[in-house]
Amino acid sequence: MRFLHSADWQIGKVFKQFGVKEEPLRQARLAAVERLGEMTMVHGARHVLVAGDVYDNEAPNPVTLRAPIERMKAFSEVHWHLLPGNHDPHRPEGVWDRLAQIGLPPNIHLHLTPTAFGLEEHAFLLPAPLTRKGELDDVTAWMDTAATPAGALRLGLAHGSVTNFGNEGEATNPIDPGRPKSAGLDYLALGDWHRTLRIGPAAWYAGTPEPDRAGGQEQGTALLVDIPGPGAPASITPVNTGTYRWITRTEYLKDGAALADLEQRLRNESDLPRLIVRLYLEGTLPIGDYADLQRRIVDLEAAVFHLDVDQAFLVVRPTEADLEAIDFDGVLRRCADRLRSVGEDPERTSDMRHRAEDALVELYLRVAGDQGKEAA
Amino acid sequence: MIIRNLAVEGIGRFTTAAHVDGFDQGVNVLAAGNEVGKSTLFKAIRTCLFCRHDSKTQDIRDLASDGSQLPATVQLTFDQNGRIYAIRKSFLRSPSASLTEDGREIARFKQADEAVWDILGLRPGSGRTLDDGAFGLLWVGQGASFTAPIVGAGASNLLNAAIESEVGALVGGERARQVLEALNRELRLYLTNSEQHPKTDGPLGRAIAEVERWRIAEGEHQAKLAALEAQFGELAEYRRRHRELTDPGAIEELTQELVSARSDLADARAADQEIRRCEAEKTAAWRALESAAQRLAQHRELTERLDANREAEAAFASDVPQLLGREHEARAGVARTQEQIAGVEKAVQTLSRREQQLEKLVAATIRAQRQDELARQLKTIEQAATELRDSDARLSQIRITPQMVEDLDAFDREIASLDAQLSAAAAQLAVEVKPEAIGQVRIGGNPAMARYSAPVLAPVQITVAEMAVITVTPAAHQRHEKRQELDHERSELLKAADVNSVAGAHALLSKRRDLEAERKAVLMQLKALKVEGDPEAAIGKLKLAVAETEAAIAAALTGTQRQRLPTAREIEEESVALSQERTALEARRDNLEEARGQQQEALETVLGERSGIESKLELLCKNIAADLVLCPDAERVARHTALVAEVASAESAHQTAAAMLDALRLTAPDQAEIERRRTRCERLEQALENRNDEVRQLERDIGRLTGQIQTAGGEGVGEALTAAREQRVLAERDCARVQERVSMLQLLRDTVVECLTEGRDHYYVPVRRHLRPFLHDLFPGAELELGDGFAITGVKRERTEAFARLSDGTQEQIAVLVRLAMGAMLAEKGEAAPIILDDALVYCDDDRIQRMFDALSRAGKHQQIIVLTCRLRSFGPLGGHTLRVRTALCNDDPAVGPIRKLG
Repeated sequence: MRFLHSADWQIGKVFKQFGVKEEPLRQARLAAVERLGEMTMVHGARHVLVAGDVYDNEAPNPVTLRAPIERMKAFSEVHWHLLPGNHDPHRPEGVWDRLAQIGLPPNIHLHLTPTAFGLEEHAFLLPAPLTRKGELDDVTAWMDTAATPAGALRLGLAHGSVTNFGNEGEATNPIDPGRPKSAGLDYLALGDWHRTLRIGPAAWYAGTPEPDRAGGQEQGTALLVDIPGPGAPASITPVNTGTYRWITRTEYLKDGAALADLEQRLRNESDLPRLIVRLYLEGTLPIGDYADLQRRIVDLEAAVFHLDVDQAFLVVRPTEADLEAIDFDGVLRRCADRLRSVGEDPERTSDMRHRAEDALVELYLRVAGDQGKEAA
Repeated sequence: MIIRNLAVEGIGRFTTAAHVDGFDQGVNVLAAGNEVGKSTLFKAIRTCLFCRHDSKTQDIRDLASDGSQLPATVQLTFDQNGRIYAIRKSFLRSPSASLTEDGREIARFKQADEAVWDILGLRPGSGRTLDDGAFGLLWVGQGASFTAPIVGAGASNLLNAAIESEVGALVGGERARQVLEALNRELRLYLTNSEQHPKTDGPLGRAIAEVERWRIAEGEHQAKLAALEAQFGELAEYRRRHRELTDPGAIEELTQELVSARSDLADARAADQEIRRCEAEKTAAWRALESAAQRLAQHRELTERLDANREAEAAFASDVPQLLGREHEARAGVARTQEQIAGVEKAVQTLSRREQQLEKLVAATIRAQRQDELARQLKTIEQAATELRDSDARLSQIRITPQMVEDLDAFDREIASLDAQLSAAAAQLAVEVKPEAIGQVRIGGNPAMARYSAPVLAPVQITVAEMAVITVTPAAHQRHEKRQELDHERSELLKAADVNSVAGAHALLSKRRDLEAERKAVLMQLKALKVEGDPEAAIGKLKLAVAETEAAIAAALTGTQRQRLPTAREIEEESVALSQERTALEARRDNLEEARGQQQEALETVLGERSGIESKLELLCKNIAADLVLCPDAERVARHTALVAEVASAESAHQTAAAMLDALRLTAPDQAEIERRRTRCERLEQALENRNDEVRQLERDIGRLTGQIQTAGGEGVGEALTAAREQRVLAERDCARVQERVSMLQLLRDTVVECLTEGRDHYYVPVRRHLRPFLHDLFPGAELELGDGFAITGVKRERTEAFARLSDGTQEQIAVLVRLAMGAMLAEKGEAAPIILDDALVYCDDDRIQRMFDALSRAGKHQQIIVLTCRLRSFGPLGGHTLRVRTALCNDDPAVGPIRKLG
């Protein structure tokens, strides 16, 4: 049997930090649903298992509620199997009841109770829906005694955090990593962790079809799962489904050459207009180079979809040339010297040292750096 | 520059030529009264140096003399750089200018104007003011000494040059100020002027407001979501509970339990009713038994009572005769005692009569005693009455009254007064009778003595034997008439009083008074005898009393058949005897009374006994008759037998009913059990009802919550919260960034200010060095605080005081000292210019002004100081060179000296 495994669509998630670019990101999540449908059709599969967190919250507005349904409707030959996760647990009159009330097409299945569901004649889905944001018990335990016809594929669908396997997930809902074996599952489709991750030969996290945060997966992914038969090992193939790519880089800078190198490397990334970059900068730069860095950042911001730069650990150390650019002598030079000494004084707090550095840069830009002014 | 001479014409009040001489190095003082023209001369100097000769400004017009047809001319002679220059300018009319150097003309007109500026180091330019360079700093017009020196650009350049030659330039000062200005400008965008608060409409204020806005929004959405969560929880709980309550199995179980309970209760109630019925039967049987037993007892009681009554009747009937005998005896005893008591009573009456007689005798005796008293009293009163009559009679004969006597005395006095007056006015009659004629002359009928002298008040007849009768008649006078009248009245009064003379009147009055006193004494006596008014009435009463007394004594003797009244001793003896006899009789009577009482009691007792027995006897007869009606003797036995049988039957029925009841009670549930079953039924019914109620309520609540959740869910509260939260985080980040920028700008600004202040302080070292001695002349130990552009910002003595908050006097003093210091500094650098003070130091006290003189003298060592003042006395101690204004009109005036024509 072949199917697509996805999870953590987080439909309705907000991206306010992106400002006017929020809407494209929201739409990208819906586009990922379409891409899932397309992938399913392309690869000759009929089912898409969505392991929880279809919605980012359990009280989406009516448009957000219907948006993914409309996308799924377009792929009427694909059967979409939706499972409540910790972001959208099944509760009375919750998001899933609202969906049921508006009426769903026959190709969209809501698995709201832990009961075996026949996908096909010889394949059964054992869903473990969440009815609370956090469960203390392993909701997949019922799978161990779930009865299915002999010889049928047993496919588990769950949302939670595999115990003793790191703590990347959001949910406290524990899942025994031995569940596939104890329940005789041919595959356990997991959701919650926003990274494609193999837990075991028959247990995978699909990751999110469209990344939603920095530090997670860079590219939106789903898993094409191929199981030849009951008891046979599953063949897992990641497929790209995302629009935007989220990358995180940490760079150490010490001079202008490093700046140029950094810019070039970033520019060498593919598809810059759909690249979202989180950049951590460390190191020490002269004022002039720091001003140059700001200018380059502005350029890069225009080149990529979004650039978020963290300069908390980037220290600005003025050179003599920097100081002379302010003045050789006199009031302003003394001022610059004083600010430099504060910035280098280990007795001062970190905030004060940074402030003194910024003040020195500010002085430099006001007095010496026309280019720096532009950058500022 | 040293000013040497000044000449004016057509300037101010100097319509003719005038000049000021006496200028020299050091301190120069022009002390002159008001309206001498000191300030005019000062203006003339400035105009001459700084204005073009062809200028026609209002200042120049104001400077020219009113109505003068001559040009306004000023000539100033001064030393500069070792040469003597004289600049002469005429304004308004025939304007001209001429500059000489060491007596040689070197420029005229415009060139002269500009040559002077060159010599003084001034350069004309657009917008340049009249006063510039050091002159604007050091020449202080009238009223301008209070303000701190405002250093213009030229002066500033000079000062800066002087300072920089010593300490170097304040490098970057201007750039630092520009940076500072820009920083402050930017900070003003963020913060209020005090920098205590962000500006509401600035970026920081807006960022803070934005944070707060999103915080509030997040809070609101959080609350809504929390409410939604609560509703979810509540709904789930309600549904769970609804499922529990609507579980058919549970309902069926409860229903069955209720049915069973009801059945049990019905059974218990039926059993209880049966018991009730048996108890009633038992009660009825018991009552029947009691009734039969009671009737049997009644029958027995009746027969017994009948027998007893008959016995009692027989016993009473035998007691009656005995009682009759006792009664008779008691009555007889009472009668005897009664007779004895009557005898005693009679004796007592007799005794009482004797006592009454004795009392009458006693009364008569008392009356007899009183009779003597009455007689004496009567006699006294009669005597007094007689005396009174006599007094009254005698008084009635005396007609003189005290008033008459007073009138007579008054007449005498008046007559005497008139006589005196008449005597005084009357002729004096003097008669001398020879011895041989003694006895032959009579005056007024009286024989005249040898000498006679008297006033003639009335006609006097002098009879000389038989030979002559001489009548001397006084002249008629009014007083005579009056005297005659008085005489007449007096005579009439004497006649009315029946006296011959006043002395007689007095005597008679005295006699009258004696009689009145006697009469008063008699009245007092009568009063003592309690006789008021007419004594005759009292006499009459007393006589009557005496007669009554005599009659009473006679009656007492007649009533007691005595001849005489007993003596007191006899009365006493008889009284004692009577008393003893009475006591005996009364004792006897009391004894008899007591005996009679006892006898009466005994009689009553007997009567009571007899009466009681007769009553009982009567009652017994009645009862016996009544009982025989109820149960005649013939039926007694038969009735008894029937009643005994009835009791036996009732007892049997009662025992049967009791047995049945006991048997029932053994099997039926007790009341407690019935109550338990009833309570159980109620409980189950209530439980069922509660369940139904709860189900209905749950359904309502579920419906309500469902609606609320649907609404909230439809509003997208979850999305809204997430969005608000992210916005808040973004706003906080932005706000922090803005705040950090503000902090950074403040740090930069403060650092620039610090460095600038340090540089400026260092830059001002030369200024302070020159200023210190002058300042310490007045304010030992003080330091001035200088701001940008040599502005005076404050004074530091014990503490720093802002310049603007100092008194006017102190400000003026400091302003002058600063000028002196600056002048000294410039002079040191070869840029000496005279210091001119026009009417300065007006608010100096005596001590301060001396110190200021010291400072001026100090400054005068290095440059020319010119002081214009109207306070001649105060500025006398300043010393220095005396300047004099000399005009052509007054050569000898020390203030206005000789005039030398100019030119």
